[in-house]
Formats: sequence, C-alpha cells, structure tokens
Amino acid sequence: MTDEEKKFEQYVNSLRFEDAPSKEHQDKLEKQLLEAYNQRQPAGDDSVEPVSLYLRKLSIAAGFLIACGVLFWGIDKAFITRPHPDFIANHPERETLEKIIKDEQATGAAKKNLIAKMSDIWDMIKNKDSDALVSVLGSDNVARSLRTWAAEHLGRFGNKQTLDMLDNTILKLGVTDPNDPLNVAASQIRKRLKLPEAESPEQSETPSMKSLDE
Amino acid sequence: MTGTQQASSAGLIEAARTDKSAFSALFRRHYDEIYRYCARRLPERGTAEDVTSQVFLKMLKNFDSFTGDEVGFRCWLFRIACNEINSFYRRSARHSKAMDKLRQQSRQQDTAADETSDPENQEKIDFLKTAIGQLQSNHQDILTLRYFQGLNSEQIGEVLRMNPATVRSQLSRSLKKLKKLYRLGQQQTAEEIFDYD
Repeated sequence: MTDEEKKFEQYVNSLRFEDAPSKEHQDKLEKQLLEAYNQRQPAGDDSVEPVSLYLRKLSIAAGFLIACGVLFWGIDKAFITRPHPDFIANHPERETLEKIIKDEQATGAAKKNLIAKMSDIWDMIKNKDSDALVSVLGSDNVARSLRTWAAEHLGRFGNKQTLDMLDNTILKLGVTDPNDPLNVAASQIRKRLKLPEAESPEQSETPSMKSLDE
Repeated sequence: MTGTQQASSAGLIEAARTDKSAFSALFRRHYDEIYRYCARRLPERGTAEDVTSQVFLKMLKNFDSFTGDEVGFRCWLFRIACNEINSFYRRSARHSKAMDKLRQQSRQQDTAADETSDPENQEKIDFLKTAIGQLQSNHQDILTLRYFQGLNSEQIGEVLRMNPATVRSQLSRSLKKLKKLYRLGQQQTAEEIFDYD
C-alpha cells in the first residue's frame, strides 16, 4: 500500500458516516424475507428443467436469432449494399453510366447488381484507390464496359507505381489485346507521364528469335 | 472471522436451505455490513434501506443456486449490492432532477432531526460521495469495497470476478482520478490527504 493510499484510508476512517442500521428496517425486512422463504419452491424442485420448457426457451432463442438476421439483412440491403436510389440521376457522368447499362442490356436484378458495382467503382475512383481499381480491371466478374470506364479514370490519376501494378497484372493474365481495359489504363498513364510504350511479349521475343535464325 | 465461526457458517448456509431459523440467522449475520455499505454509497437512509432490501430479496431468489462457503457467500452479497447500487444510479441518472430534490429534502430532514450533526463532516462526506459518483462504476465498486469496507485486493477480485492484480492497478488509477477531483473541488482536503507531484 502506498503512502497516499494509507493517507486516504485514514481520511475515510476519520469521517463519521450516518450508517447505523435501523432495527425497525431490519425486522421488517426479515419478516418480508421469511414470508418469501415460505413461498419459495424447495431446493432441487427446479434443478431439472422439463424438456418442454427447454424446447420453448430454445425456440425463443432461435426466433430471436432469425429476427436479428432478417433485421441485419434488411439494414444491409436498405442502407449499406444498395446504392443511393438517385445514384445514376445525380451522377456527374450520368450519360456514360446510362450508356453502360444500355450496352450491357441489364434489366431487373442484373441492372441493380450493375449499379451496385458502378457505385463501388465510383467510390474507388473518388478515393483514388489504385490498388482496388487495378484488381477491378483484371476481374472477369466485372462487365467490360464498366472496366473500360474505370480504366479511363485510373489513366487520369495513376502514377508510376500504378503502372507497375498494371504491367504485372497484364503479364500475369497474359493480356495481349491493346483495347483491354488494363492496357488502356497503362497506355494512358504512360502518355500522361511521358514514358515510352511497353513492348508486347511478341515484340520482346522477336530479337532473340532473329538472333537464333542468324 | 475465526476458523470455528467459518465452519459453523458453512453449516449455517447448508442449514438455511431448508431451515427457516437458520436462514434468519444468516440474514442477521450479514445485514449490518451490507446496510452500512449501501448507506455509505447511497445519498440517503431511505434509499440505502430500499437497496438493502433488494439485495437480500435477490439473495433469497437465487439462494438455491448458490454454491460456496461463507467467504464466497459474503462476496456474493457484496456483488449483488454493487449491482443494485449501480443499477440505482443508472435509474436515477434518468430522473436526476427528482433525485436532487429528494436528496435536498432528505438532507434538510436529517439536519433538523440531528442538531448535533457536524456540518463540516457532512460536507466532506457529500463531496466524497459526489466525487466517487463521478468515477466509472467499476472504479466506484473497487474504491468503496476497499476503503469503505476494508476488503483486500483478493476479496475485491472475488466480489467483482477480477484478477487481484487488475484490482490493484484499477484501484491506483481510480485514486488518481479522485485526487484530481479533490484538487478541483476541495483544494484544502486534497493537500491533507494527497501528495503533490
């Protein structure tokens, strides 16, 4: 115990609390307790829970869990996953997005899904999240027109590091199409940073082939 | 409590499960201590009596599920008391205006009834209770069990189901907070009871 704790203890002990118990209250409470004691079930009577009661408790717990699940699902659908209903209408690139929807011929659930992806990609563009956008560009699960849109934006702000990531992805996926969104973004960044165009795998193989022929 | 008393107490708990008079004896053995603890933590006598009643009624309700010796029983009672006191303060926080009025009325009644009361002592107690009331509820429990009831870290740990080392560190932290509150509100007392760093 520190000196300060000792001093504080002495200080508390020096105070005179008005804490004397009242005999009247004690007797009244004792009487009340003894009445309740008589009414209580003898020990052991409720030690084994009847199966019906157990099942009832279980069903209440299961119902509660299901209700919570539905509530969370509803909240997620209504406010989290689902983009704002006016996402397209208020979007600065409304025409482009509407064209993408038209090109993809998306309706019903597919349209909702496409808009949700647009909203996600737009968040990445706003946050200049190059890593996420590169992975979107290399994903087969995202519509090509949507990836092209993302590629154009990435081309506007991507830096040397983004270019390295894009080149790695292009190499890894073996992308040869110059119009592929990955190549579009890489090419745009090169132009903007005034870097020389990358050699395609075929081009880089040519000199060695030539030397072999010779 | 001596060894013989403890042994007889353990027997008393077992007897109290089926014997009304043993239960009555068990109640009388612990009533004073629990009441005093409640009275020191709560604003006025009536509230302390109500909370004490709640503590013992809860004890009776759950008595059959209690397994342990007399030391464990005492700790269990203090745990119920801490929970009931904290629950009282949570409820009264929602009705703070009504509480202030009640406290004021009660103080006027107490002063009128006891002309020998020492206003300086009362002021110190009021400040101590208010300052403790501003701490987190677990710090309030630890501090009051230690300084109002004289329980050690192991016993407090058993009451609050905490590690004694955690109790010691939280006790030191809560005392530091209390020191700050004293420096802000009662400079003179702070100088008397706390070191200046």
